[in-house]
Amino acid sequence: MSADLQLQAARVAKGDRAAFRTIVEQTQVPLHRLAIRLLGNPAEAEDVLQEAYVKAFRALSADRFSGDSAVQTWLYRIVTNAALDHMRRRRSKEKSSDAAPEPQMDGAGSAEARMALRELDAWLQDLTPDQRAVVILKAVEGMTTPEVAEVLACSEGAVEQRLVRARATLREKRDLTESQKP
Amino acid sequence: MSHDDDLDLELGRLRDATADLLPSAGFADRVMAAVAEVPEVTLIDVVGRWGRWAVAAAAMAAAAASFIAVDVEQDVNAEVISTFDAVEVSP
Repeated sequence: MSADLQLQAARVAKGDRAAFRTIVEQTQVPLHRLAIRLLGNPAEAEDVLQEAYVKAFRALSADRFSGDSAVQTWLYRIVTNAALDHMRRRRSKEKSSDAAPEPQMDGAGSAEARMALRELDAWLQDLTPDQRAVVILKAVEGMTTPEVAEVLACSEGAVEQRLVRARATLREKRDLTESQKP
Repeated sequence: MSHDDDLDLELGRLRDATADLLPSAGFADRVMAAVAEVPEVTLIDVVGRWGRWAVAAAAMAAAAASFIAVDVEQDVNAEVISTFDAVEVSP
């Protein structure tokens, strides 16, 4: 798939808009899963993913994709950055209004999957957006530390540091929940 | 089992449980409709972008040339002064 994506990206750079549909069709499922796990909200995930695809298209058609990384990794980076920006905006809105938005659960997927998404979102709620991204990319998406560092454009040390802090927060939260059980 | 193993097991369970979440039907069409609104990149945009690079490169070249010219001028002045000092007028 990687070579094909590279080929399609080159076609988009030459002005072939239809080639971009192939890129979207080949990558929408994993990228949607990434966005939905990062944001915990199907409606927001689709909006952010669409925005990320438009950004990617603009970059490709203006020949701003350097080709240093694989198209898939590059798209992961764009989606993760768009989701991080969205999370930060949402947090500052929540702080000013004191009300967290209720997740919209009308996207496709089984009831169990939507329930699990809600559980994942609640569990990761206390993490900063950067920590949440590292946990999702590494522990959920199964990326290696160098891959996560490439997607987040940071050092491998920074990835490990965020992961350690995130794990400590998650452990604290779980211990607190268990101690409150009757 | 360590605390971290425990966390990984829990995250693994939630990963598997959320694996069948898919974008809604027609998502690719919506993306392509949004993409259709992006204006095409014209020759003017390309020339404009390269033009900015060309102006920046020319400015750097001019700055470097000025620096070299000043440096060379100082060397020449020093040479002239030392030559002037070395002139011996025979009686």
